Amino acid sequence: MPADVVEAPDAGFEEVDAGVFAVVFDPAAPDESGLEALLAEQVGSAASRTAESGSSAPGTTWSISGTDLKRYGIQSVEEAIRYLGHGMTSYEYDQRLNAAFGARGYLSDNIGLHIAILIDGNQAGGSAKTARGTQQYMMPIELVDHIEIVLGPGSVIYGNSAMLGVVNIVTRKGSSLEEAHVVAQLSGGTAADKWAKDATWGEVWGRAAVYGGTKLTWRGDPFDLAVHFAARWDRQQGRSAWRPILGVSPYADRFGAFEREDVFNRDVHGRLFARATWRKWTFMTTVAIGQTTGTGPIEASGKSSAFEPEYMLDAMWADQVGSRGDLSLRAYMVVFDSYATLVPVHNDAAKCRATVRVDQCADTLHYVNFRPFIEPILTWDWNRDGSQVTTLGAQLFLDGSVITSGVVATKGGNVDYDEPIVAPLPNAAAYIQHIWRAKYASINAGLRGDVGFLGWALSPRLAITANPWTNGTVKGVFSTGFRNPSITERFLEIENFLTANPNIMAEHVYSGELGVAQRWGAQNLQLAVFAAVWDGLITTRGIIVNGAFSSQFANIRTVWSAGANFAWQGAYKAFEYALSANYAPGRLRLPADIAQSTDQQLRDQRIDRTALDRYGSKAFDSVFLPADAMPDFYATGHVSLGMGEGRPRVSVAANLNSPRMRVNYASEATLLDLRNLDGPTLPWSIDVRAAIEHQVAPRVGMRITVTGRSLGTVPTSVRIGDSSAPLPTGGVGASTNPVAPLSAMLEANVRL
Amino acid sequence: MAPRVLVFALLFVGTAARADDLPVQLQVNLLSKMSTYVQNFVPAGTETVKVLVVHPGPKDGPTRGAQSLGSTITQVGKLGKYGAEPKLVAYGDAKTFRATLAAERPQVLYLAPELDSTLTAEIVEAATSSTVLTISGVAEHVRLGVVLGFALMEGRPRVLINLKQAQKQQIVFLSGLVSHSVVVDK
Repeated sequence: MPADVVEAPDAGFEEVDAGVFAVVFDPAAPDESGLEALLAEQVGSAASRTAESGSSAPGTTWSISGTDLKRYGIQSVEEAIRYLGHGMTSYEYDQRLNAAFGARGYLSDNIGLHIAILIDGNQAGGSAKTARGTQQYMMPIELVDHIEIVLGPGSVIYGNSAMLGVVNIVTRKGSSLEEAHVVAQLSGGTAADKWAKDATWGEVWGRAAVYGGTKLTWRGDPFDLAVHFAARWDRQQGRSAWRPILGVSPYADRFGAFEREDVFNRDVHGRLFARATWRKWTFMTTVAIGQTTGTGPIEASGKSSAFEPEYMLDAMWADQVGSRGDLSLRAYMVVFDSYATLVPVHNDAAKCRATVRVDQCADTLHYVNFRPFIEPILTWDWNRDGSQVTTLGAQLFLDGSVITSGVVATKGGNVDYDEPIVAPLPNAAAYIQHIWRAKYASINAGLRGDVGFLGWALSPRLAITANPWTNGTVKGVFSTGFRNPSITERFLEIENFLTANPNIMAEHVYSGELGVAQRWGAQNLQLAVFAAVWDGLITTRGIIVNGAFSSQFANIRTVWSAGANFAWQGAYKAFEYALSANYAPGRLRLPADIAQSTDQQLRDQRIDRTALDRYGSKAFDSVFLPADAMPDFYATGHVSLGMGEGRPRVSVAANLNSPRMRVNYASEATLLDLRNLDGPTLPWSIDVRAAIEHQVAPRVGMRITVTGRSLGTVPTSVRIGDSSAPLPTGGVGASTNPVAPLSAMLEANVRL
Repeated sequence: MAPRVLVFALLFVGTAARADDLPVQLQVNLLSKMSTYVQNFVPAGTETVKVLVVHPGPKDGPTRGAQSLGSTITQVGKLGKYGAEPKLVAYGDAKTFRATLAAERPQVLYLAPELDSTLTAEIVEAATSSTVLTISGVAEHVRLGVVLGFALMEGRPRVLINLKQAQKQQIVFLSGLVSHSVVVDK
């Protein structure tokens, strides 16, 4: 097992020769292919909160092993999906805060608000900024046993945000680690923007992790403990923001029409993660601290810095109830505490003098988000044989915020705070799920109701799975998902800029899929066709308030999609591979008479007439536009080759996206202007990572990864901070990504 | 080349961790395939394999795990090329259990997940003098001497074999099974 010498998941295994005992006997008799097919089955619990094989799960499921995460140098959930996932495509804006995920026709670049990301089932802020599951420094990578992905809506179990899918990170037990491990990684990348004034540093990061586990006996019972600590340092430079200068035509003077500003960030983050099981209890805790400094990290705003501690504690008790029931009670709490200072690009001296009595000042924001959860789950096995199982679950939680804004003198000293805004928003949910398992088929039916201060939703799901032939599966699934508006979308008021919307409601997605899967030996194939409607998607619209123009978040977008997801996962001799090919076009649905709207009406809907004329198509008594940033076709694939004992292992993974539209293209007049050589469309893009690993000493492994990204892998902006700026040299070929086009990472790992 | 396999040197979590168990349907399907690799897996006289599902025997009847195993074996119907006939048996004490084994003459002892380590060790001891194949869905049981078992690793099933115990009971496997399995060092 040469691959496993590099941070192998099966640490604690040792090789022996069992050939003495094994006897070769009648090779015709055993069904080796059948056994391999069963051993290739994925088993997960994210789809229905009960352990079940992928062939009986109520949806398209996918599993990414911890071995592959390490093998390909994966740093975040987003990277795992980008290189090793199925059914989804993703990208990260800036390797810092923002990740975007797309599936089934819709791509969300809204900080992961449309996907549920859990750690061992824990939903504490799973998809918001507090989740950090999407951030590289928050996932205990080396402690991950595997990642389960359930494609499509999953609000029937997980409620808010579970629209694109559910991602559950399953961590390893201490008993599977035993020894202590140390990992050190250093990565360097080329500057993202060749036009940056200072590209000397490019993009550099370093990371170190220490982890281990043990199994002790405490008060007569086993006590299993796994601990992981990681620290990461980032310095990203060589990017730039281009700010349009009012009154200067970018077509007349491409360079002179913009202020060019270097964008950089210097971040340090640390995180401690621990997980323990004892008797009927499971505990999980994290403590994370981050210190960031940068220019333009938040969409090219001014220089900012932030100090962001985060704490999470999770306690779960589980026991049997009578001879038919299982009851678990889970309580967890996450607190995200952010102290941010933002220096504006253009200083408002009058404001500074009025508040802190000096000419130079910065905005400061103290944001505390706290989320306590209580979650009882009762599972009732009616016949005590798993054939009829009902699950009743509930969640009570607060999505609480304390926001204190203020102004601070740039040179320190004077601070002027506003009154804190305290918003402890209560939420309650209950769900019921029944699974009926018969010899050839299973039915999973469920319904969840959510009610909270910001909205309510009902989320039904019905799934029928059947195994009509050997190693074959047929599925039919109808599922739904929703996202409640955020506190910002509902309440935030900024004079002459943003107006609150008391009528804003939850976004919904309704999805139907038919799937077929077949396993031949170690080969696992699955194909699903789907149709999805994304209804009431929230975006800003124009609105006149007291005669002045303002913006307002509202449910004004509907996206239709239909397509197919195909996957092939398997192994042949020394090769291990997987391929996911997806056709999932998303189209923004508009009224058939949209073209008759006035220019102002179109602007209020954030639609430019040029976009309608150029990209609109008529069907089903509607006009359709391509959805932002969502490629019609996308694929991921990876292949790994072990060259034999004592020799290196070579692995390659890639993510491919077909041409797609830039984010917000439909409302950007500059981008749609024919003189803008860059235009609103991006070409085919590919993101490739190659890795080689080798054991250099009995307890020491090395790994090198090289990552290359073509232009257009990040469709959010041409330049950081400005999606509409035409480029100095024009043309897509001159575009740059806000992440390094070429980077390499060196890793050393040691078992102590 | 002699097959090289792994020795599973670690403990898994205890029997209480039911979420770590493989789904029963998958366990039984795996057993059905694996049984074709066991050389001396032959029913006595009939074409039906007798499977005793052993459970700790609470007062109110068989445990849920045992019932689930029993009904799934009935549903699957076959172990390899033979028919399968499950029978649920409560474990009382070693002497009674030996008498049950002598009377029933099963080919397979399937241990219910609710059995604790003490009872498991006693059952293993009782089975050691025969060629009956012991199997369990709890990885810890294999470390205690059950011949075949299952574990869930990285989201996929793994077959565990206790070769030392198999040798004691003179159970012979075809090499193909060993190459697909993790060998547990007792």
